[in-house]
Amino acid sequence: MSSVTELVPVLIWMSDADQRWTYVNPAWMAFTGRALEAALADGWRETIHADDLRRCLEVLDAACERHQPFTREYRLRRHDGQYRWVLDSGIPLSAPDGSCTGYVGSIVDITERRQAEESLRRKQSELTEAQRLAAIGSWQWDASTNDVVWSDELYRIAGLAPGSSAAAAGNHPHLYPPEHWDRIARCADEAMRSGRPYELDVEMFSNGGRRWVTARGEAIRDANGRITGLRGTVQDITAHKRAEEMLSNQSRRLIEAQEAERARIARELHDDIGQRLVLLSMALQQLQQSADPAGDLQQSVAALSRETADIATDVQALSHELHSYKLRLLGVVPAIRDFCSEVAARHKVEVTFTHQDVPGTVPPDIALCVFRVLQEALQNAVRHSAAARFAVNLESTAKALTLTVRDDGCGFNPESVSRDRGLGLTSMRERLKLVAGELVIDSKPGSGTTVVARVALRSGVPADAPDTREVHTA
Amino acid sequence: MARPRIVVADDHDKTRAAIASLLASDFDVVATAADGQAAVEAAGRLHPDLVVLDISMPGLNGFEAAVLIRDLPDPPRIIFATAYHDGSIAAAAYALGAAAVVSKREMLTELAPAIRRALLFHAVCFYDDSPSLVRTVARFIGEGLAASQAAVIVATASHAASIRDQLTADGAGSRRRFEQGELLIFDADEVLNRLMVDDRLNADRFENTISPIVDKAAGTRKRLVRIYGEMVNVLWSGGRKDASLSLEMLWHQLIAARKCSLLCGYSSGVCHGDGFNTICDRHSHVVSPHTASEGTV
Repeated sequence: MSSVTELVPVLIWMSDADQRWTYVNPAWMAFTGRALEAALADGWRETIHADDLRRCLEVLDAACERHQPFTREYRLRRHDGQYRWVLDSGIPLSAPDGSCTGYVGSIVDITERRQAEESLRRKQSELTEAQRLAAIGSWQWDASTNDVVWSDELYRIAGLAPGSSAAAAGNHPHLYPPEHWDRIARCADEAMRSGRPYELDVEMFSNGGRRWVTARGEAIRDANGRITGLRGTVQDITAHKRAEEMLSNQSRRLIEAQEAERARIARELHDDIGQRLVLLSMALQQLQQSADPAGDLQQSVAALSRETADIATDVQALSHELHSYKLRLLGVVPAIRDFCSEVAARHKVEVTFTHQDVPGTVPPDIALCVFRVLQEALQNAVRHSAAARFAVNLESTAKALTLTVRDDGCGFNPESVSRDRGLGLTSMRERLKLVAGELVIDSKPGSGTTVVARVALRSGVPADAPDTREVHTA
Repeated sequence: MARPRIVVADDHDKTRAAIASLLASDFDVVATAADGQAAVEAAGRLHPDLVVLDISMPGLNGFEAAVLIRDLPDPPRIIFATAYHDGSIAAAAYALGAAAVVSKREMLTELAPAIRRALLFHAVCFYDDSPSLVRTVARFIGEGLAASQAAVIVATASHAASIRDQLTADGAGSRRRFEQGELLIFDADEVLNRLMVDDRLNADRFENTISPIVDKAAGTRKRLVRIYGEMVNVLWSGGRKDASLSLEMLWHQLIAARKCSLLCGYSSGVCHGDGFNTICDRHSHVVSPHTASEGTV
């Protein structure tokens, strides 16, 4: 036996019935840097980390008592003084009568494995912590077994105890309101079929209430590229949604207050100040008629009358700028048509306006929104695009009203816009949000800009909103 | 002739009072109204000859009030007095059947003449070619039809056919109105034959022929009637200028006694110098081709 044990790289020891070591192999001595004498009897105990020794002896005692094999992990001092984690496995040796005559043990260095395990544990806990912090849960589903694995955070988001059977694949439809589950199921089917990843915001039941989550998913493929299941994440965006809603409410109030104030001032200007100026101008005209035609007075009064009438006209124009009376009196098409003409005349550019199937009566809030978006978009285009031609189109289906403002100018990167233009875009977005509309901007430096605003015409129906956002992944 | 009866509607108290006092010397201002609803009620109750409407008013605005007023039985003519200086607003006002749109800053000089012109609307149009005439007449008639008014066309056979085609092309429900007797079309030569006795224009024949036609078009609800006539041109271009001028006089008397607007068509090729002036003198105003609207002067 000794001859074999002297050759193997494994550390080997033997003990007698009293647990006193009787042998260690050269590998043990080389590893610990101790001589044979220093290992035998109880000498080996000095090589074990003080913190681990007691546990080691307990394991040993327990095993001896019942004459059983054992394993123990402890830190063993190496010849250089460094402690290494080792796995020590002991097997009992028996006399022919069955009595215990000692143990033979082998020791392997498992420091690296321990480190790897430790690192894995740490990563796992970091991941759990990261998921908790980001409120992102993850999941994986194997199509062949229908097995579902959830991360702890996903259980938390769903308000379930970790490992709850509610997470089983068959129970998923009950986790979401039906219309939301339908959307997820459609996307998941599509991902299984075509491998197309998805991302959508849905509501999820949780703790008797509802939470908004962003559900993302993608296909898992085997080595042959076959789709074998799905994996994805569920991100709790309830707080974000609430904040967004609050912000929306605030901008709604802000926009409404601003519009109300503009309308009030415009009305005041037109209905009162404007009228009084007109009357003043009339009184001056009458005065002029009764003045001596030969005198200078008549000339002066005539000039005053004209001046007053001009001020009345300016007040009228200011009133219109604040709040378009045409929108109210004539409707959205004439108001937009005239605004395009005004912009064209003022900036000496070409603005063509076309429209298709726009109903005569568009709800006032939608008409105002579309008109304001047009004002912002067209003025932005004229100010920034350096183009000379602009095309505005307004078209309607039974469901939605779509405004398009297009130029063939210099374009811009919608991701990084200047401050004033950025504010303009935000204001358009906020306005559209108030009427369940959406804004799409298509622009690249050097290739013109197209701004599309779409508003649903029947309340409650989203404006042909795409079900999912396109997710571009490799 | 009795003084025309006017209702004035404007939400601005001082403006309303100023308009009323401005009109008091020539007209009877039978009521003033501070909003569109009050204007509709006054018009329905008092059957005025004409309503002067502000456009921007609380509640029913001027446009909304006009739609209700024009559908009243025996409706008044409508003139808008507005602070808006704007082509689109004016176009919308004429499309509602307004006789005129007067800018408030020009009320002192323009409002009373516009009212008189609306009450005795006897316009003339000199045309260079048939297509431009057809467009002008179709617009004048079509606008009236679209605004709940009735129409009578007395034209040469070829003009009448073209005008009818143009009206149909423009929409305005002219086919239905034609079938309902609210759009009456007559051949100028045939009607003229009925009016002439011994090659002379007969006033009784005119009265007995034309009045029933206009009354029929107006119907029991006494709609406003827009009339296009070119018998005068037939006479004038046939060298019977005196007969033409007499006919103008008879028409003038007829429209003064009824709620109708008359547009006369003359070929510009046959009207030179003095003739042109003579014809203009017999009319309230001249309408330029293409843009004919009751208010286009």
